Amino acid sequence: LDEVKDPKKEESFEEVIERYLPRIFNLVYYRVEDYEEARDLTQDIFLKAFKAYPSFKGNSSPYTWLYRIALNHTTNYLKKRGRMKNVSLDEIFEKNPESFGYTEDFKSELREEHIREKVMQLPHIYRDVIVLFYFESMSIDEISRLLNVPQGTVKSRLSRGREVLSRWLKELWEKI
Amino acid sequence: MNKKPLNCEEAERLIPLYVAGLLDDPAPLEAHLKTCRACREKVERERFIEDTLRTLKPYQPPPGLKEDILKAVKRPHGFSRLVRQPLFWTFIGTATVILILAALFLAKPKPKLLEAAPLTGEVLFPTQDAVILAKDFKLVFVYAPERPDIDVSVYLDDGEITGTVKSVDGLIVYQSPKIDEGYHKIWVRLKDRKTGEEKEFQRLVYVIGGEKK
Repeated sequence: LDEVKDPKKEESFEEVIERYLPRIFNLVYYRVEDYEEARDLTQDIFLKAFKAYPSFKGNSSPYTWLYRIALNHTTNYLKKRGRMKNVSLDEIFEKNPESFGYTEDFKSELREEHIREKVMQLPHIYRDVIVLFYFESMSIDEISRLLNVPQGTVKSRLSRGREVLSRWLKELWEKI
Repeated sequence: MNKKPLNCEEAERLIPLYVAGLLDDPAPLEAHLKTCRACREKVERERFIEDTLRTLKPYQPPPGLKEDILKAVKRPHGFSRLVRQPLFWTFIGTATVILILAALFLAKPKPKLLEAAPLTGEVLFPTQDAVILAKDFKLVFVYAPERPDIDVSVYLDDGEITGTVKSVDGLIVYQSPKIDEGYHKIWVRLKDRKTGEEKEFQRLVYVIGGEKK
């Protein structure tokens, strides 16, 4: 791995793995919704990245570069698996999300888990921007460049995604 | 220029961006919020969701994943993907079974030469003192198949035979091309090459219809 350390780049590939593995895994898991698949895909992504690392020019941060590989790889995977579909907002709102299972000893951890679940249920176009914006703390500009869509589109997806989440989480709100 | 005041439906759409700090011009919404208690409650609710989303702990990668990736990048490319293919494991499984069977077969103890076993054999044909037609004259002798280290000799009367001797897995079949009419002794001698031990098996038969002496 030392061999792939490029003096122009600040980090060796091992350092790249060390630094970004948790974030890439998190992103992949939110996209594929399966822990084992996320594990395998994350490994694939880093292998792809390893092969491509010598040609990585360092123009963007390794973080953005890795995210692009991760997004492309998981998108291809989801398309192959037939899990990438466009759903209209009306269809989403018609969904009747299950109860949050509120109990007297409702804990913040449980609340977090419910919110995670709801994020997972979002259509991909909304889920991606929610994950990147909130969990990865990316700016609208960064997301726009990463997803190759205008900033207005990112904002619109973010707003719609939040709108859907709000409706789904209304019950939770009322119980706390 | 006075903008048209927002209604609740319009305000609701802007609230997520507002709490996320992404609204370019929050003034119209803020104006609406001053006069609408329901939308203020929505803002409060959105802030709660916003705060929770921003502080959600990420999913942690499975233990050992980093080590697996490091191992995989050190392996020849493509191997890591290969090992996750069901067909790969089917192949490995089949190959393993074949190898185990082959190993078992090869390791199967060969029939040990029973060095201590006695020299054994039996004349199956002809029976003692049999009367047989010359054309039917033959010898069928079976001896210990587990003793390949023994020499087998077939004799007719006082000399070694010159006819056809077929030997397959301890079974000797001798057929004479021609034989005289009269009494004949046919016998087999087994000899252990290592110990020099010998054993003979004889038959005396009367042949009819052969060449007259």
